[in-house]
Amino acid sequence: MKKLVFLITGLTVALYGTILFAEPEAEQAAFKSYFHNKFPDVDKPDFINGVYALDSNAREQWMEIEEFPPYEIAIDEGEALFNNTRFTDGKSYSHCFGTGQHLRKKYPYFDKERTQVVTMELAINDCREKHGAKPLKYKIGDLAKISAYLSYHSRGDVIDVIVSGPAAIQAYNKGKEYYYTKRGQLNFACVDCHVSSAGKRLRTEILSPSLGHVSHFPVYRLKWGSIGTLHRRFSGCNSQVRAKSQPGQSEDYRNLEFFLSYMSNDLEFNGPGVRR
Amino acid sequence: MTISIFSTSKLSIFGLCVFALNVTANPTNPDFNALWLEVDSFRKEAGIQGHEWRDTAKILLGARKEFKVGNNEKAFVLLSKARAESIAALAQAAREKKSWERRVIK
Repeated sequence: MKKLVFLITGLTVALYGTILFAEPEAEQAAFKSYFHNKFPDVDKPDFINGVYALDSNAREQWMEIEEFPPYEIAIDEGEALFNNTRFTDGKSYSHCFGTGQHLRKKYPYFDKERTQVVTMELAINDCREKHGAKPLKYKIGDLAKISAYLSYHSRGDVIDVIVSGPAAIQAYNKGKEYYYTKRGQLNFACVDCHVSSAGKRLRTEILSPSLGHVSHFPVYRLKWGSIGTLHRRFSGCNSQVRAKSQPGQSEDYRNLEFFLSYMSNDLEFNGPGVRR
Repeated sequence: MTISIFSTSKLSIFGLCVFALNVTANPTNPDFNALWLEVDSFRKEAGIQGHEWRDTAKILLGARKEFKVGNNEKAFVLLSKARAESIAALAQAAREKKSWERRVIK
């Protein structure tokens, strides 16, 4: 009788675990499949180029901008900040990140000890605080420049976010809920613009597909006239639908980044990018 | 005040009308402060639920500013607007708790 109880309990746990872990995988497949079916003419790896994968005119203009990309200065300044900054304890960023090469692909990840999603930008400030320096602003400025430098040296690496274990799945689910929840006075969810309306025009702009969204950040936006992080863009989206935006690296935004990155697994990083 | 009170838009509109009539009939200082705090508590509750709207806090601050300089009528109009936004944000939060999952791509 005892053996039977153990067997049933074991099977239940195994089955529950399989269902729990299978959901993100199935959702990722459905997410990708939606975009591949919606835009059958777009090569799968080209989704990293966002709206420029959809519209040939916009692509042509973008490629011309890319000949002298406005984010280049940010990369150079980010490199100087990364290599020349000395903290009060005499250490530098290299004590946390080594040479800084191929770093982007490690993030975001779920830190089981801290039970939270850690993004690259969060890790940069963690490093600073660990060595006695003040944290940088999360959406703009020096942190975005360091992020641009590190992203540039991770180009071609593949997004490979792992969602494993109940706590990570919980973070993934929170990010998913944030993505699909309507908010703000205009009552929009991320999904409304970047899934169902992806490829359609909103005034003069074409709405980009969510698949590949995270690959090219930080971005130099012509609208901003500077480089900004992914969380700056999240904040802008919130504001555009007249919802109160959140501070950079808030738990909601980190979970959202975790979810979106997992959805774009297997695509290449190509940041920093330039967008209108 | 619970979200369920605001579960129908008709009730919210009715409440808003009663509120507007009350506040414009006799706009005294204690009335304003009490109402302001009430509306601010709705705003905060919407914020806790992740559904505060972008401009509600600004409108509330504007209401207080107008009241301070004696523009009572304008102050109550702004207060009324902030209240409507907070109520709608709470209703949105309640609605979305049930409906966001329907949008997940399966």
